Amino acid sequence: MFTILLLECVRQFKGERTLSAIYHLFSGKRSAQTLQDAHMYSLTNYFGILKSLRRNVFDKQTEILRDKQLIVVNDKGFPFLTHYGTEYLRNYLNQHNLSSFNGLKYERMSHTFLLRLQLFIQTVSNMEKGINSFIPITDDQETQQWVKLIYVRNRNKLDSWLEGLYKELYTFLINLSDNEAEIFVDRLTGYQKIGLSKEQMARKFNLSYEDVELELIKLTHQLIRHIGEHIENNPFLSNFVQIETDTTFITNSAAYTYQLYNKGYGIEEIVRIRNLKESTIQDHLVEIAYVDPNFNVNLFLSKVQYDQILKIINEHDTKKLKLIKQLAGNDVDYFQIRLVIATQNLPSERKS
Amino acid sequence: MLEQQLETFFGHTNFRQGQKEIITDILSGKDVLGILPTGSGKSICYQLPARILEGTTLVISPLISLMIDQVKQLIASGFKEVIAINSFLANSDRKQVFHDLSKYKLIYASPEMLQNNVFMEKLKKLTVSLFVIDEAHCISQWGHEFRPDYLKLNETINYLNHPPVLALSATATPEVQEDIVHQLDCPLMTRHIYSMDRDNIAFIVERFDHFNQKLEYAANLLKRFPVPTMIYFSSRNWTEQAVDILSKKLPNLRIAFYHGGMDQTDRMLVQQQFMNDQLDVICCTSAFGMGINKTNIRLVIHFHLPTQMESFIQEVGRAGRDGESSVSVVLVAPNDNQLPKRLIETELPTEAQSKNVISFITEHIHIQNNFRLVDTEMMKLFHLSETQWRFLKYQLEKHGMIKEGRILTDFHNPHHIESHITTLIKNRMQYKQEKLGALFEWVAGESCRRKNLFLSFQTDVNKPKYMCCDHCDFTFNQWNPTFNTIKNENIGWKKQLKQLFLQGINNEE
Ligand SMILES: Nc1ncnc2c1ncn2[C@@H]1O[C@H](COP(=O)(O)OP(=O)(O)O)[C@@H](O)[C@H]1O
Ligand SMILES: [Zn+2]
Repeated sequence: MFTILLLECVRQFKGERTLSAIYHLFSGKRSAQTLQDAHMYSLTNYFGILKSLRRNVFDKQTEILRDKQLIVVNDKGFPFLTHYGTEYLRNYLNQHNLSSFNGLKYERMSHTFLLRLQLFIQTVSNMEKGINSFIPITDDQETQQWVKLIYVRNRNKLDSWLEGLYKELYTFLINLSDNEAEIFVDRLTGYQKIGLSKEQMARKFNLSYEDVELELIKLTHQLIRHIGEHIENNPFLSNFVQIETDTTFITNSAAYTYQLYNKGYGIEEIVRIRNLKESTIQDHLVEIAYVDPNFNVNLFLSKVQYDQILKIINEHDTKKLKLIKQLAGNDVDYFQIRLVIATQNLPSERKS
Repeated sequence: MLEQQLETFFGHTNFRQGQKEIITDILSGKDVLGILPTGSGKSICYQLPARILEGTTLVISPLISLMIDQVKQLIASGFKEVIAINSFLANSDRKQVFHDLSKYKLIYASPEMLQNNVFMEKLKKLTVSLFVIDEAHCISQWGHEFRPDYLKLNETINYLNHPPVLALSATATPEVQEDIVHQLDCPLMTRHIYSMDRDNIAFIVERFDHFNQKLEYAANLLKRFPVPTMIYFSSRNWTEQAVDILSKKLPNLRIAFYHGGMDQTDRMLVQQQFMNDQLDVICCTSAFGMGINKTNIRLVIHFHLPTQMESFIQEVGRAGRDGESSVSVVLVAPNDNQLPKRLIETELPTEAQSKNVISFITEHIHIQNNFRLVDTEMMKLFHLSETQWRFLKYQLEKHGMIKEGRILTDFHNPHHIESHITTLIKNRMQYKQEKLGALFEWVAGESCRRKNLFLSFQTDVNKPKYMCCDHCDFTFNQWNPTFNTIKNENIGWKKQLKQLFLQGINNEE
């Protein structure tokens, strides 16, 4: 799966970004650049899905892709799919449910969600059997506090929690492939059952270490989405999901700009209040434009300008700012082009 | 009375050999040196007093992972006023812990923490009613894991107004015992020395013409005796390869590896699986086993040997903690001593390295003020391992060249210091090579292995409870280890999930 993901990212980036951009995307670097790349090239689903990925592992993997001639990297460091790579990707893409990833939306909460769920299962499964001396599967203090709280509140109805969680998880898992369900269950720890390590799962399922991690994250994303879509059928599992807010999708700095913007301040005023460069505030606004459907681009460019830029983007199938700027002439600036790119995929009634 | 408290706090009905004697002496305020074999229950000797005594019990332990494991186990067992303080504790956590220090009854600390002034001042405000030194042999240059930080322990003890001291070790020759008493400056220490050989462990050595026959042998042995087993290797790579090979040969056994390169969670999971009898065989480096509290390990196989008898004894001591018949098997092939030989060479700095470090310091002598020697930078700059740098740093401090990372100005002729250190390195190297030699001599020995292994530590050995060694009486034909037959079957996720949530078998399938 790791290979396929890498190839998919190379394809989407169309040779307009370096391999580092892919690395930052996977490791979930919260920089304006990485977030915008993710939006611009429709790769938001893969944002932050391999947070613990080490650079040397990534480099080794891309090296292998080059050796196998699945990709080539030009002298500027931009990767492209080879003919063979394109074929390969086409053949194998469907074997992996890549669309189950929902990186940008879940990357922050999925870790917490899974830890809470796993620790809670471990706790309840042991306590119900009268075992109160077990070593918690995570040292994370916040998770431990949280689980303790839920546990104490529900101490006298543990059996209904066990049954409820069991049924809800069963319903979720039965709709996956057996392999996927097994991966998910193997990782769980409870009474007289210690979860498998990632190394062990890699051996058992004949996967690479990174693939195991990706599978686990994919399943977690799927589960969170499943709970969200069937909230009324998952009264137990839904306790483990945090409600997300819009601002979790953007950098903290942009979030502050967003607050000011919502209060009606213009760019110049925000520049003054925040004591930042105009270009930085523009970065923030582009970031916001990607996520806020109510963002009004008309404040920054005319309808005519918008349509002109959009036409160029579509006709030349490009998102290269420089190229678009050349074709559009001096009438428009880079900020305006980026705003169009940011909002072009939104449903049309929201566009302006 | 004491028995009752043992039962209440730890659930054991009787004391084991030595425990009561040591605890009684501690409670009456004496300084005690306790030498007890690995796995005999040394920790009870301070954990019980920690619960009984007013004030705080401070335990100095060099093994951070062991310390963390112990704290986890204590907390899991209901003793919550316990904390481990070491350099891994995040700064913000540390602040909080220091602030609440008085709420802990048992504090584990790594030796370098004793150089932390804030910590020491906090400690001084508490009443430390017992000062414990775990792995006390680390204080001796002749011990097998010399830790220079340990030499400062006597200062710390004095700083804390000399609370009762308990020094514990499982591996200390009489020479090292003397050194412990001397270095701690506690001449009145009461000594409780128990023999280190465990009467339920038999010793055998198997020789091969080529190292690749070893795994074949191990596989056959495990086929015959599918008992809980540890196999020691000297490298991470080997543990992983061995799992690949053994799993193919032994599809019915559950085999995993464990080494220091694995991530924290995975390490913990594998350790717990082994404890929980969910794994049969663990292929590990010496990183495994320190916090292991598994009582039914029947076989300890050494695919590679460590660098001296002390470590070997400690590793073998993980077998048969329940007193049942267990076996240590050493596998040797020609040139097996080359690897540990090279390992030893990397434990001490080379002459060139120490020379370079000393010239570096003399050159930077006048860069005053903010210039500090940072451990990680020094290690990088001179390609030193942590042990190598620790050794050099201590020597440089001793010779008055540096103090707390700063370069001092008034030290004597650096050439003398250099030649002094070089000689020391040579001697230590030779000493270590001799220790290694002694272990391999033991392997080659033709008489009773039990006697040969332990007589440098004690005057007599125990009478074996089952069999003794391959030279005296041992054959596998007569070995009947107790173990549970296991089934390595994949029950499928549905059944697993059901069991995990304790759901009856009649629920929907
Ligand atoms: N008096 C006792 N009765 C029964 N079990 C004991 C007793 N004392 C210790 N143990 C057990 O022996 C095991 C080894 O103890 P530990 O302190 O870790 O050994 P050591 O530090 O000497 O290697 C532990 O599982 C402990 O619970
Ligand atoms: Zn013998």
